[in-house]
Amino acid sequence: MATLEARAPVTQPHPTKKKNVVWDLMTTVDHKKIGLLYGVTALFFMVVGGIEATLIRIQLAKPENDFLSADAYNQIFTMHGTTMVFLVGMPIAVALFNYIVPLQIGARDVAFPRLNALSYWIFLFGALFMNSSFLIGQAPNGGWFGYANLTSEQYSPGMNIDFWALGLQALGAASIMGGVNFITTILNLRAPGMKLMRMPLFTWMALLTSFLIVTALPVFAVALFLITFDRFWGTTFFVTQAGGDPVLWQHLFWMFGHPEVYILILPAFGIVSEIIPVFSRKPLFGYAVMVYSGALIALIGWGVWAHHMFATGMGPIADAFFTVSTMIIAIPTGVKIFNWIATMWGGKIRFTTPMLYAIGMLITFTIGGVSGVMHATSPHDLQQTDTYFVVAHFHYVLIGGLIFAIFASLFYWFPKYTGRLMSDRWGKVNFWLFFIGFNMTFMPQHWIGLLGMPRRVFTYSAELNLTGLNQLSTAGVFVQILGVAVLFGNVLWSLKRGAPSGPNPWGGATLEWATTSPPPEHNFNRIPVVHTREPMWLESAAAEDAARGTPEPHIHLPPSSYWPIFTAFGAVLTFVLFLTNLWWAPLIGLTWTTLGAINWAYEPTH
Amino acid sequence: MALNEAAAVRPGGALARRAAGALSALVLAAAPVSGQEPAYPQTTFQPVSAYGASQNAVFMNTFWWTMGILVLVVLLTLYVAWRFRERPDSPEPAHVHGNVKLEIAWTLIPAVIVVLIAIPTVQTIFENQRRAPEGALQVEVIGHQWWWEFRYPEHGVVTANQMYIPVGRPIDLKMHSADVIHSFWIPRIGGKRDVNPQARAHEGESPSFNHIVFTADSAGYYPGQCAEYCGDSHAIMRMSVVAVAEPDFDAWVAAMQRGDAPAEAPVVAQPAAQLTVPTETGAAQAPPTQATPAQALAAGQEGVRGQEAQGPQPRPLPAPGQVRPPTGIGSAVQPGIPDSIYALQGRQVFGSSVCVACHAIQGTSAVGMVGPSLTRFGARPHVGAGAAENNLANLIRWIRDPQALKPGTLMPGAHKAGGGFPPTGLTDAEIHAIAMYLLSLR
Repeated sequence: MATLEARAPVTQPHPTKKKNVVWDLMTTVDHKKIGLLYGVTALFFMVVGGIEATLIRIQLAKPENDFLSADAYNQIFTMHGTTMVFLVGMPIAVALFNYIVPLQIGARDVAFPRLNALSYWIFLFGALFMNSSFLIGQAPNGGWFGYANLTSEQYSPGMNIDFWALGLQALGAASIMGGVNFITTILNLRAPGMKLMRMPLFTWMALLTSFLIVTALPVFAVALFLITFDRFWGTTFFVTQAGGDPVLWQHLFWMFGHPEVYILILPAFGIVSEIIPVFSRKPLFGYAVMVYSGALIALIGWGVWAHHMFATGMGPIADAFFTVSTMIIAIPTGVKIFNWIATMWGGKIRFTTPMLYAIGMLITFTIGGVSGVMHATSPHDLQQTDTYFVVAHFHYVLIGGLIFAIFASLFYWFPKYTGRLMSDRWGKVNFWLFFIGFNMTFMPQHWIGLLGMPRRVFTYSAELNLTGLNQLSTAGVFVQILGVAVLFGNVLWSLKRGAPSGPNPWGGATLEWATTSPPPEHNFNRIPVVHTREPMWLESAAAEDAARGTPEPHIHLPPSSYWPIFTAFGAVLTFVLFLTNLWWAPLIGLTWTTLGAINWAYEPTH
Repeated sequence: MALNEAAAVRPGGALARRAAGALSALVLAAAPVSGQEPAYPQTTFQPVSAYGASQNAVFMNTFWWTMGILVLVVLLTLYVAWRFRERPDSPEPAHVHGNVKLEIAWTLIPAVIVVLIAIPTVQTIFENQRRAPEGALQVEVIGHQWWWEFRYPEHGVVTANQMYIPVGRPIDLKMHSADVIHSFWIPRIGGKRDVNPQARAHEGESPSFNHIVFTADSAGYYPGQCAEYCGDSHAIMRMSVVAVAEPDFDAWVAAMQRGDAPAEAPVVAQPAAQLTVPTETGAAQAPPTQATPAQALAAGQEGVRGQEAQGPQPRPLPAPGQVRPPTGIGSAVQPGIPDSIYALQGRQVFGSSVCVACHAIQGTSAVGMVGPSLTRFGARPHVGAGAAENNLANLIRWIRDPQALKPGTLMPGAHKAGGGFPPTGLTDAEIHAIAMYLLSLR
């Protein structure tokens, strides 16, 4: 029972004895701590994925380079994509959902706090499991979308693809649990008076993203099960000699994969929709349309998957359908961009670092959107697909869209996490370095692609005459690295020395700014009652009084539990033991998981 | 000029067209000049078929519309950010929550633009996927890890990695894969198509193939490569189309059909085993060389790579019977022995080696089907589907240790197994002779 668990009468934890920090984090069910764990883990993997990206670009800095072997290169580009999508993009959004959403809706925690911890630990163990493949030199090497039948036993006999399929299965399960959790939280735990159409845009996007997660990830789970069955138990879903069809994989993958793109970008839209109004000192222009267009994008996002497959040979009718549906999705996206500009219009714009990143995102994301419409022009997509033009496009969407927004959110909400502001001056240095380095890396790739260089090639011929552009692209990476180094330095410096922020340093409009920075474990002393969309602008006295005034006599919080980490370990162990190829080995992990689940069920929550 | 044609699709007057043309050159760095070899051999901006040109045209239409929107958004964003920046005298902003008319406007205007983009796009989709017209030349394209097989059922010709086609005649590429998914992409011909493994057809169904239908407008050498990641050496799965005038194509077909059929060849001076006894050393350090193999066996066979074919000539055709020991291959070569002798010897070595288990040469007893056909191999620009330039040194390196030039290739080396096959065990003298023989097949 969702709401019961969160609100069950439990012991009031005002611990006086000092807790062991590690044990505390291992057993915590506090959404804020789990959010920080997610965030730090995602940033760690951002560094891992960034190192992989750097190796890729070094290899491509000159034609016929032998810096990396073909095999190493193929493993690294596969893990770069897999890492950035599943270990950075998704968890970093989940980190923000965890920390921010309950605060924005005036809740004490998420609906299923222990499930939340379970999601995190499965994610962490799954990520470590997948990356452990590097230790035996057999990291996944089938590309991040692992097209069958290259991934079949016959053409990929090593353990590479096993690590990929099993690891992603675990990560997917964690994401689905998270999705269920946030849907329940947002629908059931809102403060009194916070109707759906009074929710902050970020929470709205979290809700839509969660719906996409619980609907799209299962499709991927099915696809992964099929390939796992093929590889371990000799089924023939993708084995052509036995009548299987590798194109089936493409449909299943992209039926998940395209909604996945919106899973990654909708949170970014949410972040920018929070930041632009605050730093323009104006409410979001066209709130309702922003909500509807987000919902429309999520919905139409389900009907465009085959635009990744124009070269597959689906026939002109399917090509025409997916061309038009894809072009249509540009309309609600364009509306969002114009509404953000209209929000700034007539405002009083403060050029803080988060606002710079938001404005930068507006521009770079539009570049990615525009090249997206070019892809939708399917006759010419046959020239673009699988070239560096596509690589340029999705990096403009995912870095120019998502990562810019994530960096904006870091500066924006850092005071809430820590009670301290990050250095704005170094923030701007970091923004300009990253902005310039990013464009230097990926702008030339548009030309590299249209002038004839396919993606996923470990080497290219000097005859292509693309050496100069590739070198420019590689040089840009080092400017980006400098930018990110400044960012990390800023974070570390600001943790200790940042100026104290107070509860609401930016004049934010939403409820997370009512409570202290960082918030107490129970978030709000009393649950605020909301009458407007911008409680901290229009009814701040009441909101602040509820958040920081006299506390409720009985505040109920779930106690910490070690069963989530115990169960998560068993679940991932099950997948790991599949690699032994002993039929009974995974049963050990399964038994472990069951043991955890039973103890979980009988754990007293009060 | 493709770009100007493309610009013509865009609504607007001549001035706009000219401006657009100039801008495209600037923005897209394509700098096309009619009749010249493009600076970028795999550019998509200078298609040589109506198929590619139609794709470029819809792209240009989309490009200019979306570029207009992009410029608008960027300028508007920068203007608004500057105009409404916080100043000491900035008034507190009014809390505007929206404006229905404006929002309808910026929903409808993009919608109209989408329609203007979608109409020509959908038309082109259907045009480009028509069945091949009567009389089209069918070429069967079979993708392999990591090379291309081209079959001409009309002529009974099989070749690899380099496809000859006649200019002006419609070509129908009928494509499937022998293993994993590949993608056939010759950018200057036009957009790529996946080359899918054939799913076993169920009862009552006929297997389906992907097709590319196009007609080459002008003769030339058009390189391309596999565009769908297909494993280790995906990057070295290159091929080219050589478009030639119809008579040259017919000559090429005739030469391919004859292949290396026995002709009045000089008698072999010595049996292969007795010729030269090389050591392992020397040849291993063979540097690239411009050595010119003799043409003894190919004497009288004119190369069909005529004036029209713009392909890179790997090396000039040597005079028949030219005596020139190749440099840099050490003890494998005895001074004073004509190239033709090596080639003849190589023919014998090849015919009695394990090579024939996988490779075929038209007109000989070699009929292997696993690897690429080597008929008229000497005329191909590359070794190993683009792994290296086709010259004596590279070919020797390739036969001795193909994995070193192309990671993962299924071809076994002299001392290393590959693709489930044992090492060939060829000696350096045999490898040299085989290389000389293959290069003589022009």
